[in-house]
Amino acid sequence: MRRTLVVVALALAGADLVPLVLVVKQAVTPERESFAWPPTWLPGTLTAENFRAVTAAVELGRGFALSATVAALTVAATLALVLPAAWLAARRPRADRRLDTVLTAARLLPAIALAVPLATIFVALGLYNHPAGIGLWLTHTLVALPFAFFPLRAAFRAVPLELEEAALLDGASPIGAFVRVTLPLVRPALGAAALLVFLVSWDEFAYALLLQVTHRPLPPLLYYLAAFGHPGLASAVATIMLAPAVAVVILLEPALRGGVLAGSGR
Amino acid sequence: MARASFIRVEKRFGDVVALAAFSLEVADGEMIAILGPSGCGKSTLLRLTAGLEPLSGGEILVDGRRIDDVAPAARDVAMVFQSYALYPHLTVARNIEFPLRMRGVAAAERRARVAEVAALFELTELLERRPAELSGGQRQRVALARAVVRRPRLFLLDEPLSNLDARLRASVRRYIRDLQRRLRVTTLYVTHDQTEAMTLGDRVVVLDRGRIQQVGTPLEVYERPANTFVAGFVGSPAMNLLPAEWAEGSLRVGALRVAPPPDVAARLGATRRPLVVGVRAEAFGAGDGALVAVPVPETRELLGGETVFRARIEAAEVTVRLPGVVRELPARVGVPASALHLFDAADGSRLGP
Repeated sequence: MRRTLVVVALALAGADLVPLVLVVKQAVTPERESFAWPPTWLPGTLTAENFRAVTAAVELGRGFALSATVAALTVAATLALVLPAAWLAARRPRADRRLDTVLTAARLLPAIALAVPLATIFVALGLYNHPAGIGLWLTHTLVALPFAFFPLRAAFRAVPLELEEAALLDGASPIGAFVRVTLPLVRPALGAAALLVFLVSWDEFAYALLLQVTHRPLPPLLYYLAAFGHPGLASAVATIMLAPAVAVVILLEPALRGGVLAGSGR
Repeated sequence: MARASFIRVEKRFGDVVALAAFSLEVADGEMIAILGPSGCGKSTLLRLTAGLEPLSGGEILVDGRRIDDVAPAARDVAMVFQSYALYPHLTVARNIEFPLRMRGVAAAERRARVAEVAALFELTELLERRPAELSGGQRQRVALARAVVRRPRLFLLDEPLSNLDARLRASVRRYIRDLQRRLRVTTLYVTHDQTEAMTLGDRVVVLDRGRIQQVGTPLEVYERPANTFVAGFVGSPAMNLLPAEWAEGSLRVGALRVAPPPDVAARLGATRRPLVVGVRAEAFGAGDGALVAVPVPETRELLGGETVFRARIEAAEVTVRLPGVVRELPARVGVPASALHLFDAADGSRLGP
């Protein structure tokens, strides 16, 4: 049993890591070598050529800033909306049924089909292809809601109601009880939700492609480079995209550790 | 430190009446034990008092002022939850300090008060620990410390001993009694354990199905149970309840003639009616009495200091408790007239003194 689990874990890790290693390798190898036959696992020559070329070819800095801004705003907006909603859902069964239905239904709609009407609305509002990605931010927030809602609702359900009641009797306001008692206890889930939402926005492609036609965030930039026959440059962008994702995971890792709830009761 | 008045307090959940017409005056510094089986409404009463649930009717007053329309935070009522409800992310010191912090008490005074109650509850060594690092008994003391640190007007305890093992329970019980005497906090103590209620309460309120069955001192409730429910619930073992009948001026348990207390005989008159005769297990003695029976012994428990027999008298199963080591149940057992309790079989209410 134990051994099977280890094998499965290694297989999954391998399936994830092999493409990552290959893309990073391709990013730091001259293009000629990347397509050499037979293929090599390790780069023969290291070069920064792809990174230099990609900065010259496209507005990489702007794309990076746009992606980062949209992702950060999406995390902020999603959590601001989901925290009260998930708490309400965990505490009030009637609110829960409604929110559950709405958020599950929202996930069922295909992005491509929604992008067109959204684009129409954003054109009217002046948010289409916005240089700061406001339209895209709103869309990403909509897309990310369920990703934050479900883990946070589960976490709020795990916090005993009596802890909030104790805080009320100890003199806290309802908001005070939430901030001082409930919120610290869902910290791991909050970290996980923030991470998920960041990643949802950071590598979201369909809306980014259709709503930001000239002010492009990183995923469409990468797509155009790959589509127009620059695999080396596309790999360089992919590598650049990996860096913040890894950074966010490392940054949030301490918050993801569980066990905060132990010891409240008997 | 305060008086509390409950005036026809009522709570309904949909069609279910959790608490009906609950009226009680609690004196300053008094400890009231609320005793009843699960689902009798005792926890509901605490939650209404704390403000965690709205009342369906009636009023709750503290020192003559209504509190049932005030937010929980403003009631100045402290509650110890059955699960303790310690804040798991805060140290013991921060847990105890929490109510003071919420009330804007200055840091220096907070430290002093925490140190004071920590000493009182023998928690000084544990102040920097988190709840997860404490034993059950220690958590229990932290919960009590957090409740008393701000000197509440009313102190509510919801089955605070039910999570402790039997040995610890007895010592914490004494501890709570001493503490309450020393602090003189008006206290409502909810329990389903009649030993706790009898030893802790200045008065005991027996609740069943949302209604008060009896209010009285522990001895009153034990010696003069108001109805068959109280008789069966208070006391260990439960009072023996024997079906009986009053007819033509005589009282019978099955074929057995029982001499009724004289004032009862006068009051019952000539009407024929079914009754219940109550007898405490320890009221039996060898030989004569107002009720004399030849019991059919079934089992015997030798407990050293006393011997408990299960036996059959007429159709009823009874428990007989005799002092010391008794090898065999006497052939004839008797109960004096003063130890007989009479109840109306129709509604269970007590007849006579």
